[in-house]
Amino acid sequence: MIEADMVLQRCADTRYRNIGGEGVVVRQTAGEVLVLNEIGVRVLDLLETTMPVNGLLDALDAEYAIDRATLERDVLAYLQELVDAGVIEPVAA
Amino acid sequence: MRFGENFLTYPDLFPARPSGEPWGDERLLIRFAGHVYDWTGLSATQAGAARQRFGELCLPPDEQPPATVEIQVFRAATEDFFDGGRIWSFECDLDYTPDALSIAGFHFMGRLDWTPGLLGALWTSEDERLVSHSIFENFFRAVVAYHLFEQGGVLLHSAAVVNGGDAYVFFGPSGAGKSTISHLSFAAGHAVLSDDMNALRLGPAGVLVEKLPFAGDFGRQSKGAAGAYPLRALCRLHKGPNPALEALRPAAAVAALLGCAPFVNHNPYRRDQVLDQLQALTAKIPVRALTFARDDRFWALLRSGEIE
Repeated sequence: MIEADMVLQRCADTRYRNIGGEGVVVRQTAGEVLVLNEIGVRVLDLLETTMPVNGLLDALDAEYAIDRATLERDVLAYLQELVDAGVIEPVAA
Repeated sequence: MRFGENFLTYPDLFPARPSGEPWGDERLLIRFAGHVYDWTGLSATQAGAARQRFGELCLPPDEQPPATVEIQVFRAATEDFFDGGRIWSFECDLDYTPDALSIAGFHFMGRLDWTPGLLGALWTSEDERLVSHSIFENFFRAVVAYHLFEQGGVLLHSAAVVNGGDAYVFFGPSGAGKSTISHLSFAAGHAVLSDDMNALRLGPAGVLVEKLPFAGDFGRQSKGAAGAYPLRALCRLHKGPNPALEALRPAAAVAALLGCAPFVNHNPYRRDQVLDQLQALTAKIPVRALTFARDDRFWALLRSGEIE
């Protein structure tokens, strides 16, 4: 479950590349390759700055014309998908 | 599962360096795609079978050009290998360090060491069956994959077809249709370089596709289609009732190609380099998603280059 004060980071066994505005994420251990759209790339880029989830939501809120409730619901669900896929993980407290 | 457990009785005893007792003193120089692969330590039986398999690619004994890559063959005991009831397997286990690649397969162990040049070593218990059981070729594919990769190229799990002097490369996982599209293209009068493995070499003028002696179900029916051809398009294959051609976005193209770059694509110490090289490849050559049926209508689409 993703919490607003959580800090997330890209898993150590992944490689990430921004190619033409989209992302390629390679999960080395699993040998899987994921393609991220523009939003996914922005999320991963913001996570590289080690900001907490609520900071990430604020940043996206300022960039995209979408109501806050929908943004939070969609982004939190997306972050959970990335966690489940082994792309990102919570930073240990 | 630990590296080698599928194939080796004692995985922990995997050779730490390229040394051992050679099978014999036979040497075989095999030349293709502009490079010479120098196999040493073969028995007369092994060398004879390999000469038969690689035919005119084998250099005459009196011709001794400088070798590009040396591959040493050593004897291993039958009891070193674990069959698990199999009589043959094409699969293999891979293990990586920054300076070496270890391979365990059916009745063989192999190493690639960067010393700093590429040096191959193969340990096997098979004499008569070294070639017929594809041990020789399995290891050779790994050697060629890394050798090509070091030169900025890519070994691609793909079918390559020549049309009008240019090459079209069709790629995708097993079952995507590489052999089918090779048969369809051959029947339509086009030369097939290989339906399984092709070398893509990036140069200042573009990308060349080079024929390799590694084929799949389509076999080696394409005699006469040798050499290097300018690459016109890369097509990720899909089967469907009607032909269609779509542009693949750059990230999706790199991801799809990565899945078809055997041996190097799972190497954690080469991951950034392989992404770099595939990105460079997709910057030079259009990558398409090609849907094709069991007929040759797709060629009209490819020639027109019309994408949906």
